[in-house]
Amino acid sequence: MTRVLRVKDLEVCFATTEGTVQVLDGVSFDIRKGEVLGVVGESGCGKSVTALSTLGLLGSKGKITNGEITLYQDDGEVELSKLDPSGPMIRKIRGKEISMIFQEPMTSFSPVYTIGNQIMEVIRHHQGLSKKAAREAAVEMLGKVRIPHPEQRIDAYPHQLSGGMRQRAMIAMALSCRPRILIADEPTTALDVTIQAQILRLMRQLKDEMDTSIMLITHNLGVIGEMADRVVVMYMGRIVESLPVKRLFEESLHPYTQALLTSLPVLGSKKRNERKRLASIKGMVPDISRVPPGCPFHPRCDRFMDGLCNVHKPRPVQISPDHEVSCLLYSEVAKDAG
Amino acid sequence: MLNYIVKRTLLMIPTLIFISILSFFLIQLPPGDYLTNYIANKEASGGSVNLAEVEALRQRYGLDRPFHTQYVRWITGVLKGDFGYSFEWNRPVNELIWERLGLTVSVSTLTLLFTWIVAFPIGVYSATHQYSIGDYVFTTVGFMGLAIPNFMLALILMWLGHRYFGLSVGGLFSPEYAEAPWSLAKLLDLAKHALIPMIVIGTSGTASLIRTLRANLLDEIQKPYVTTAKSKGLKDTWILFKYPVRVALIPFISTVGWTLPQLISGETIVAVVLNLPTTGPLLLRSLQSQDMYLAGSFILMLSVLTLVGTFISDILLAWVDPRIRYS
Repeated sequence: MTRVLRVKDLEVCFATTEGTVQVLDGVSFDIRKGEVLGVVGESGCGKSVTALSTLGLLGSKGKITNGEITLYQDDGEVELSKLDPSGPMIRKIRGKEISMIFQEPMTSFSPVYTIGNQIMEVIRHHQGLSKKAAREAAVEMLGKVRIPHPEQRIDAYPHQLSGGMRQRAMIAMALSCRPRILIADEPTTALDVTIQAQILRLMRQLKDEMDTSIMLITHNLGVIGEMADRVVVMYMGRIVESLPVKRLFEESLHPYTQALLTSLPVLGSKKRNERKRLASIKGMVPDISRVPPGCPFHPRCDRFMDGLCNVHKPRPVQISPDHEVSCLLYSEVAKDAG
Repeated sequence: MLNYIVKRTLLMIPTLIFISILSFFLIQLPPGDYLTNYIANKEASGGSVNLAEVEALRQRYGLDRPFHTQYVRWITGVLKGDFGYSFEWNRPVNELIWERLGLTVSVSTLTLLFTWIVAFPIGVYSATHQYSIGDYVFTTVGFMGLAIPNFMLALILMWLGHRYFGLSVGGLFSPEYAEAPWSLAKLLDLAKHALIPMIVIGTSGTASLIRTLRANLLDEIQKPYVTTAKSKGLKDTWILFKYPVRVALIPFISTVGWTLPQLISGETIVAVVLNLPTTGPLLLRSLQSQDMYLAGSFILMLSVLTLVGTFISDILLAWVDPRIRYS
């Protein structure tokens, strides 16, 4: 399959009052045409920063210090990480080639304009349509995301819609210029469970219909299992494991991935003795300004090897063509020592 | 929207009635009335008072009647456009207040415009360039404006104007125009004189509006909807004015309601210092001498202006913020 986005050795630093903090350390992954790439990890692991850096939306405090982000278009490649984040080039990418939806549909829409106004704005900006044509396009998009009576709802203000409807409108806005990539940052976290499933199904359908790739950011492995084709697992600004979702539940190798999986509740275990307390990962995520030496997960790891994990920084090891893991258990360093 | 305006207008009527009763009651609260005050003053300065004449006055204006009779008398007059009689000035209240009220409203409106025109761009600049040199300079100047008492600023500006620009300071007109009929020259003269009061009265308001706008805008700029707008590929300045500035203006607008009456009563000391023929000094004197109809009429006027100001700001708010309009 062809690549649409490649992130290579990405490093991002943020300026804080206590000095510079590195929040991404050598993040590399590809997104292929038409696939859903899941990005999973605990809060603060750098999922959202990864997403925002592709769009140049890190703000004045964040900076890409190393690495490349490349967008593959039909007529060539664009080096997104080299573009001026406030320049005109990246603005042609945002909303048109890559668009984004966010966690909270209520606060992600401006409360003082109708959703139609906000959807038509992006259509007119990138496609230069007339007001009338943009309105027709917006109504069509609202219909596509299954909002009933789109020709009336287009004039609704965000507070007049339910949470699920708002997120549908958000998806309509993000897909209105048929982007190559849709970045969805926790798109269902703020919604009811029943609505979550509807929204996820809708995203899948539209992705196939419009041939868009999706980068789905979530902390919810259930959502990943339902939606994603491949998954990258992040911990403290690094990718610890990446593999196809089909193999995630049986063949994952990194102790952190395995720990995440065992902290998932299992439905349908009826026998009394199978009902156990839900497992959780011991300890807390350390402060990002004090990343532990060696493997950042070693203080919480069950399979910690003293003298190795707290000394050597693990490198990604290729297990099979689609499966990489960054853990010393599987690397040459450990084998040499063993 | 129309529904909302009608509802808001109807609500004003009971409020107005209540306020008129309250203001009349407050004026009558101090012991005695204008006449006892008048007698006391006369005796203090060694004069004698004709008690029979005082009694006649008291009966003529109904000062011996109970509160509600006096109120009804006054308010029915007000409805017909007769605001009563000023004892101290020996003239109908009508003759005294309209010109002053007109001048006050013009000075206040000019000041309000001055305040907004200065505060708006500085507030936006300070928020978008937080902690820059410009932001610090404006913040310092703003706080100084807030901290310096208005009368002090008035005195300094008067001295500067007189010493270095040869302006005839104080008052709103030069001597030769004070009694002249209205003409273009008189209007220009008024504009020249209005400059100092405008700056003096506007300074503290400007400073606090800058602070409010800056704080609001800083809050709004961090909201997720701004990130959404950026992710759509729009230009930064377009985003700034279409999205966060519009929301940040909401508290700006809601202060219009309080600004109107505050501009009229708030600048009393400045008006005394600058010798402005506005309402402030007259209201102050009428309260001191218990000139009840004059004071009552002023307070009623101020209340009406407060209501009108609030009304205007409510309508503007509903126009700016659909969440108000539809709830």
